[in-house]
Amino acid sequence: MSKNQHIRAFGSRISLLHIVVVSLSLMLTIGVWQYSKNQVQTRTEMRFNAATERAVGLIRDRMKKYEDALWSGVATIESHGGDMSYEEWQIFAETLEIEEKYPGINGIGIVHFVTQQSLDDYLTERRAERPGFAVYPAHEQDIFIPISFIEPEDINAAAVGLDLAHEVNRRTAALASRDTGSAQITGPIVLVQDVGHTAGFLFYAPYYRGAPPTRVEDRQTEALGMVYAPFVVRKLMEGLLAKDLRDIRFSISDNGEDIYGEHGTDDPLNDPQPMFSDEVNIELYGRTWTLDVRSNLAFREVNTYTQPTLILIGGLLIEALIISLLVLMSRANHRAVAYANTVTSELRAKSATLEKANAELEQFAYITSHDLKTPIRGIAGLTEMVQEDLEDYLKSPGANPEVGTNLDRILDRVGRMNALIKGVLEFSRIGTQSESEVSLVLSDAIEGLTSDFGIEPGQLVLSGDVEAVQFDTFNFRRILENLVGNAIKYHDGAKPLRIEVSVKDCGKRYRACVTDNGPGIEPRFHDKVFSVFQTLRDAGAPESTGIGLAIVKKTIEHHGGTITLASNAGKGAVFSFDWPKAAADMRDGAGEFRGVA
Amino acid sequence: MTNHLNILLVEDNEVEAQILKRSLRKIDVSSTVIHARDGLEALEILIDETGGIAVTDPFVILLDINMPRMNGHEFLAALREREEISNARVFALTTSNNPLDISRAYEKNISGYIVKPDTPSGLLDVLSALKQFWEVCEPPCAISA
Repeated sequence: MSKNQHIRAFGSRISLLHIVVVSLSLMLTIGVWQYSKNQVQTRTEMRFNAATERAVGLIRDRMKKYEDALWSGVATIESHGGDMSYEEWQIFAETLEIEEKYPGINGIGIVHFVTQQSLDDYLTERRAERPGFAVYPAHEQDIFIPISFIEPEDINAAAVGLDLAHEVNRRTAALASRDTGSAQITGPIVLVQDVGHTAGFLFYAPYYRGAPPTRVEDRQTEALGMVYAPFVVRKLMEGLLAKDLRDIRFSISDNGEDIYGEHGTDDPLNDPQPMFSDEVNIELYGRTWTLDVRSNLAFREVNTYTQPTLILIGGLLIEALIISLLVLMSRANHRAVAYANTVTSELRAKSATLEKANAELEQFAYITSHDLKTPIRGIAGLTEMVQEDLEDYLKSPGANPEVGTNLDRILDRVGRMNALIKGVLEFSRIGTQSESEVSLVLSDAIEGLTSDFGIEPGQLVLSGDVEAVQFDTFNFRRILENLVGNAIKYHDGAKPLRIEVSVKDCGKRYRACVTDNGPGIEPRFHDKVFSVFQTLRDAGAPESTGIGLAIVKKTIEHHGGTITLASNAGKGAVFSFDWPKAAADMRDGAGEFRGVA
Repeated sequence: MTNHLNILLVEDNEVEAQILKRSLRKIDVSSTVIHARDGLEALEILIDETGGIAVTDPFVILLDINMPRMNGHEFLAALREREEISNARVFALTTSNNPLDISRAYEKNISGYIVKPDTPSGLLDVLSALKQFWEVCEPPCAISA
């Protein structure tokens, strides 16, 4: 097979429909895969966002808790008339249980707003409680914001006396807190008491002389001090969120300065290429913290779904199966078609051969019978000539009587021979249908037969509801002729001859019966009568070729019908057969092998 | 006129010819019957050596179809080509009932196509009818021109 033939063969096997089916299912697979991927992506992103929001929420809640602690300090101071002694503050601080309840802060303390004028009074007051108290470091500002007390003092000793006005972050937030009357936090600072020198901030809540003023000017003049808490961001976050239980990591920066970080490479759960990351700004007490949130390996582990991949692989597998199935099917189909083609062409060839053989046989029978006729006619003619020539001798008394008898016998045999040949010829030509389909009027046919056979009109009668037949009238008449002829030929004269031809309309077909009152036929001969060259009479009886009924049977069967015989010896005979109304009414298959039988 | 009618019998089978001649005699046809064994011989009888027409009396031709050398159809074709005898009255008398033979013969303007009956008596009937026909009709004059 050449390459082109291969391609053609393949093309004929894989149809457009197959391609459409495969493409559609491939599209479906990819569609479902993408959809599932998107679903998973969306769900995971929602989880990440929820985790981020939870972290932010926790930070806010925690800061609020610390703010509340500061405000409770403010309330306590106000309840003490705006001033508290160190001892009183110690008692208050103890009730807070800082280490247990507020793990994020180093302590809680009080700072005072002190002017240049009131600085001496302030120092006197402080030194009464704590000899050697000093405000440091020196600076150029015209306001002092020294830390007066801080509890617990042991770890915060370095902070006592620290003037928050000396440094811009601490000072700005403190003044903002004073001027707004709200809690404020500072920008990133390093706590003096933090030996680790890590990032931290201070949290302030202001208190005033008397009720908190509503105007900024009043606040500036009436402000007494602030309750404050120092934070180390790392400690705050450790207290805030158990890192192990989170599957996100974040770092915090304040105005570009990092104050807290969890993205270190030493973290075993650090994901160098996080599935999700986000930046969230939180407004917190005058500052804006920027959270850089990233998912970690734990998140990746929990949120890695194989479902879309499985769908894709499964879909592609099914796809492969479909393709192989289609290929197998079309191959099988191709083979079946090829086989069918072979068989069909074989059948066609056989049918053609059969048709040809049949035509040849018909031709052979025709030629043979035709060629036989000539010598037979010659014999007949010559015999008659001899008879004529011997006329005088045969009449003479001395003539041998056997000569005349034998000459008659020759003529008799010649007659039979002619009848036989005629029969053979007709039998071989049953397949040839009469072309002209002029309908045959039955009463005319009966009249014709009555005349042809030389019988009385009352001896052959017609009954039934059909007036004329339309299909293959030549053969229909020939069948009647044969059956009626037989009835006459074999009638024994026991009763006056009576033959009835009945044709009835049975829907699609006609039902014809020829009934006689002759000697009848014994049932054991019923099959035999329809065979070629079968005659139940003595061979010496004239004009019985034994072909008539065979022709009748073959003709009827050729049109898809059957002929039946009902008879008993001595009781006459009934031949019944079906006849089509039109060519289309022939039984399925009948006529397919016209002339082959 | 009938007495002068000649019959040209073109028949290859000797026995057939003999039977025919005898049958014609039986029905009292007083014509001269000339027998030719095939178409070629028939033409030789009709046309002399110089190419002229040999017969002068009116005649009919009884023509077999299947013959050696020159069959009935070929003979008819040759006959119709000769103007002087082209309108000769021809009856096909043959065993062939092949529709093709019949139509071909009628294409060549034959007067009748007779399939030979199987029996001698049948043959007699046919010839009697033929005799009546040409007794009633004016016999064709082959060389009237």
